[in-house]
Amino acid sequence: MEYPLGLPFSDRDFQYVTLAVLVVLACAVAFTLAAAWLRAANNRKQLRWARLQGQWEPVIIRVLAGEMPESQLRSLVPKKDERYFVGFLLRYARRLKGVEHDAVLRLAVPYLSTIARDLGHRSPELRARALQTLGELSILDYSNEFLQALNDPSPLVAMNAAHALARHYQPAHAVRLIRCLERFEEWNIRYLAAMLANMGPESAQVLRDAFRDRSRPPRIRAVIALTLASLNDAGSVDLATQVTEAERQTDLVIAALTLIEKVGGSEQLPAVRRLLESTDFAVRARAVTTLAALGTAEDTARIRSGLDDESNWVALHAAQGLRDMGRVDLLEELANSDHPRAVAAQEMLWEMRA
Amino acid sequence: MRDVGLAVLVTINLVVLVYFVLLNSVYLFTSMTAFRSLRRYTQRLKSVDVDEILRSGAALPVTVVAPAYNEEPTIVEVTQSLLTLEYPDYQVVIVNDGSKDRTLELLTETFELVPAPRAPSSDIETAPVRGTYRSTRHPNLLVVDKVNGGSKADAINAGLNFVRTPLFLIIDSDSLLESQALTRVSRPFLEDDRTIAAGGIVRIVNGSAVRSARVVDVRMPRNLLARFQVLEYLRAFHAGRVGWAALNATMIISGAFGLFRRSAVADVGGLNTDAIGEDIDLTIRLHRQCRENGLPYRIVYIPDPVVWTEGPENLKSLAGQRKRWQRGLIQVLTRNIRMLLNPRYGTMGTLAFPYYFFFEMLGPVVEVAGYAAFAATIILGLGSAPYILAFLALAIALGVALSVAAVGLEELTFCRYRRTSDLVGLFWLAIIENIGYRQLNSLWRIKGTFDYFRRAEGWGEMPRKGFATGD
Repeated sequence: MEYPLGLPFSDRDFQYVTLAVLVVLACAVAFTLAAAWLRAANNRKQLRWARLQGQWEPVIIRVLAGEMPESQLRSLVPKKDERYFVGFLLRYARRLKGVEHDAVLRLAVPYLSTIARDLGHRSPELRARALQTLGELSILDYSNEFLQALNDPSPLVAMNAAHALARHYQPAHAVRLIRCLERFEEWNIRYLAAMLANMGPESAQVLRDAFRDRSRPPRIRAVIALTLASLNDAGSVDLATQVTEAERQTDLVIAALTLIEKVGGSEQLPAVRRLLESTDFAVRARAVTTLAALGTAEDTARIRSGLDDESNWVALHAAQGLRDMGRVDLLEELANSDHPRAVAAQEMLWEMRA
Repeated sequence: MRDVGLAVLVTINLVVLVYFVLLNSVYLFTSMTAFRSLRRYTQRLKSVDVDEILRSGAALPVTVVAPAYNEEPTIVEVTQSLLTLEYPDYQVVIVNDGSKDRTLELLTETFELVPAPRAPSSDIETAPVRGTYRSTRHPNLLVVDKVNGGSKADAINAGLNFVRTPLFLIIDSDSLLESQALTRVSRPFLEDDRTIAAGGIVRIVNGSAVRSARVVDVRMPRNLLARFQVLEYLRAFHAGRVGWAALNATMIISGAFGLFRRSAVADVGGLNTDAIGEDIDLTIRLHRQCRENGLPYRIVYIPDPVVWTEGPENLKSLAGQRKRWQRGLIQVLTRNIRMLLNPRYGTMGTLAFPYYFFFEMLGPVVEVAGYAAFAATIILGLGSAPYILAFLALAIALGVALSVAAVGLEELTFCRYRRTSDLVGLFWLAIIENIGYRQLNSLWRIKGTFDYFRRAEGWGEMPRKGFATGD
């Protein structure tokens, strides 16, 4: 019998289809075996990790308590488990402080060369991981490698190096670190500022020099301004004032205002007042907050007028400003009026009473 | 006449065959892309210290917005879980969207809510807000009580009006966030300021043990329909979304779990209240807004932040959900048809949009036509046994291979189903879902297509069991 849609067994097309079915089935079987193998491998790894932890944990506690020599713990670490051991120490290094932390770092020293070899690995993830481990356990011995890693083609690797260098401040490192910030221009400025703030107040002069440098991108200068703000660096307040007068980029001006709010005084008020007229609502909002923090009684009306601003954000900042200045009278007056921002005033009063 | 009928049948069979080969090629391609991408991502995870964000003080403030409509069985647990996230700076806004049950009362009693005025940060139009409440026990909890606006989008917009943080998270109020999910999903915003939206994986909670609003023991559901959904979600997220994200073409940030830049969403006027699928609609409008205005942006999917959600356990609820998804898809694709094959929209226009248009939207039509033609071929005795067998075997083998590949990706990465029986169960599901479940899905989606063009509406009620299950 002849079928219109037939593929007789002898037909070449049918043989192709059969082959395709077999190939796909083979793929399905291969995927199944791969998944089962992965499961078995994961289970084995977990069991091994649990066994090693079970061996090391009681000993490290006694070593850290000074009841047992470090060599005793090291004797429990066979060559093939060195990486596991470094991972194990890393967890303690992150949790401990002081002499116990130092003891963990000492324990790690003999095994770090194994980790350092990964710095030359072609996988950026492995390089980044090695930097992260070395950064926690022994950055001083590898500071050249960390400085080189700032130029690594992978931003992840460079960022891990930058983090570690920032945590272990040295003047020479700070200059290199700030120079490479442009590589991270797309990262969030708050994140970068938090990283740089780890360098501590000793880095203030280097940061000020960088903040002053107009050849740097505005966003990078904004990062530096936020860092100086979190370091409460009073010495940079004049620079911040100059920035608010000369620059227009929103992030930079807002960061400079934040710095002024933290360390400024009445000398900065004219510059801040001027920014209440900015065309950018975000700048106006920040200026209102800064003015509320530093301003005098004569600024109350200016802050109050922020509630008439077309932007909800400026109005909110103005209401918060009046709250921070303790101007219950003005807030009550607004709250009881039919002003379109009366709710903002009511909210601040509620917060003051809560 | 017989010849014409035969020609039609042959043509349909041919179209279905070509469609089938193309569709599975796309699946294979995204699975392979996902494999590479997931491998790199898991390696990357080992090289970043997630807790460092919590310690550094760099975390971006986030507001979690959870719209709630008649969520009495789960609202307290969900709110509690939201209040115990590991994140240094966040607020929770629960929007009671005119619930007819005791949702608001339960919230008021449990969290000691008191009326508290709250000024809006934006003025997106919504159904009237009746009042705002703050918790005396949790200063970061705000409850917005509003008149029902007829859509989840309206409730989210009402919440968005009270968001004061640069980022806000949309989550379903019947879902459970893992404690580190916020930290993980916010990372892309720290690593690239151009990021305007990020989504994570949605997993099925049915069958898992939940204690104190946390999933403490991940298990496969007992209910067969829920089990199928576990596999479906693994395939959709691991093989689908990861693959598309690697091609920079994330078309959906799930409404059950998505973190957005507040200003970007406010700039597009919030969520569309007449959108059936408000999540895909928002994601596409964000793409369009940025592409059409030349704004640099990123919309990303990352696979490790997890939200757990309850999947429907009966045919009626599941059918309702799938019909709604199909209607939402058709609506958004037809509204944004100018993106189809348009290089102006990058890989979104040239790859992702055509895929969703031709395979996701039209797919069920082709598939059901194929089933009908196939049945006719058999009934009329027009096809030989080898033809029928070969076609069936190929269809099932491909379906199995792709599903098993998704299970493999899960094993390669997060391996959440720890029991061997669960793994075996997933393999078994990969085979049996091809017989019955898959066809049912296609039928529901066809029905959804008809409903869309007949302008039929409805969300389909899903009975909630609550999370105290699986012990």
